[in-house]
Amino acid sequence: MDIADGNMIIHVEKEVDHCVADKIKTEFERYYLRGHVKNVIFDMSGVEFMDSSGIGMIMGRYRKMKYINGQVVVAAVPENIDRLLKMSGVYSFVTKYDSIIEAVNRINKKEGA
Amino acid sequence: MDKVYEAAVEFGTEAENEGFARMIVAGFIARLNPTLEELSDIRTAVSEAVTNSIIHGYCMKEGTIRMVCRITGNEFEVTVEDRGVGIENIKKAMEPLYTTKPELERSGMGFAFMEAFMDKVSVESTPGEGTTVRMSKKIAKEAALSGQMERAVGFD
Repeated sequence: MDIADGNMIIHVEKEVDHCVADKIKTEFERYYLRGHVKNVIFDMSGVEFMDSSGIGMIMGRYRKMKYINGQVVVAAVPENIDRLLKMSGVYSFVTKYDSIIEAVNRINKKEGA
Repeated sequence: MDKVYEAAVEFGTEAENEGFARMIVAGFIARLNPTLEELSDIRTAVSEAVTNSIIHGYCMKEGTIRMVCRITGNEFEVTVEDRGVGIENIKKAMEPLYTTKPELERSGMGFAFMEAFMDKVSVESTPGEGTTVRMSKKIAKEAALSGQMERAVGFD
């Protein structure tokens, strides 16, 4: 997890199940409660497996960030994970970017506007 | 008459066991030479069923989960059983997005994923006694004959 200019980049683990989702949630809370997080970018490049716990984790962050008018986006999503995110309707709420760099640029642009 | 292979395993409710169950299933179905997608589908469905037993069946407390895997011909069947609280209304429980634990950020999509990725899903449950989830999936036979290297090793 890195934070730069309030953009929290979460490098998501290879396998995301309920156990891993809980860990990510706890890590996130530490920074969120201190007001350090303006936006969240999920780096999905290393993810090989995800079940519905991962969906719950992403949507949970989305709801938390919405309270403070922050964005949650996903970047570098592998094909099989993309299938899951599409299926569960996550893309109705969370924008997908090809890379972290693109995500950071677009988020900063949106804020500047 | 198709040969039947069967294996049963029991484990506790430690969250790490979700990954353990996925690994067991992946090893068990290797003999059917599944595609990466079939493998991923089955691992996801099993992960959902085991997670349900841990979070809902046993409410994160101690308990034993029994998983039975069976192969008949090219059909894979898995049963995930717990002796937890059981499900009051199975139909409601299986509705997409319905969850009894929104505070835990459960997406309510567990059964939806199981049904999407497996051919058949059936649920039996008695409140106070436990729940059994039975799922099956046919692994495509033709694929087993061609492109053996490409599958499961990950080359596209």
